[in-house]
Amino acid sequence: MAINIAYGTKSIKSIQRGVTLSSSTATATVTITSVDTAKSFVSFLGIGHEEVGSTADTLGQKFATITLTNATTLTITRKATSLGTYISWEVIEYA
Amino acid sequence: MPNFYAQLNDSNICTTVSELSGEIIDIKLIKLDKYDASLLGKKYNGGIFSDVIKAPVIIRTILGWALDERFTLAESAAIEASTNSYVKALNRRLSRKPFINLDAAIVSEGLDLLTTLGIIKVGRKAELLVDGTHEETRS
Repeated sequence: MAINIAYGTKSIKSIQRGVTLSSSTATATVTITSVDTAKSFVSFLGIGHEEVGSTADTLGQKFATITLTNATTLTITRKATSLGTYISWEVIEYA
Repeated sequence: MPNFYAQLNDSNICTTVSELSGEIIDIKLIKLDKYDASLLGKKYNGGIFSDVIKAPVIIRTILGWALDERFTLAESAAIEASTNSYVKALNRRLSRKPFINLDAAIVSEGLDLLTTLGIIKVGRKAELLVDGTHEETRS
């Protein structure tokens, strides 16, 4: 999907979105179409969990970080667990 | 034309569903006709995504009240009535903890003490340390 939206003096070149299921591993990588990292940013859109409680062991999985590691890779990091966490993300690249 | 993909991990489990800005040729990226998040967690095999049977989750940390409720009323009363200083200290320390790790040394040693003192019967320790339930993790 390529979108050109006037936004002030800049325009959006592309938007990529997805949802990632992170389970059992602390780090998940996501492949995206190549972007210029100097003109792009990643947004965290939301997080959801499989059935979990509120114990100390499960608190860590309620948090995640998303990094645009390079032009084609997102890295999602959180506490390793056997329970699944759904992380929704978006990468916006300006022209 | 939209570029919808399911990304697979090394076990061919779908870990990401995405809408990308361009086409990607990658053995771990399966092109989809539509954005379908229900594929997450499913295994890809021979062009088909199918459900994976998950191993049960083992819970070893429960809330403090949940451990309290594992004791019978008679056991709870006996613990509170005990004049043994170790029992008092154990009760005080565990009462302050919002979460109880069932594998913690203090829990195991404390139950051994209660067994030795006859406050709980032999065999109760194993019953009291069974895996937690999801209900026991909710406040």
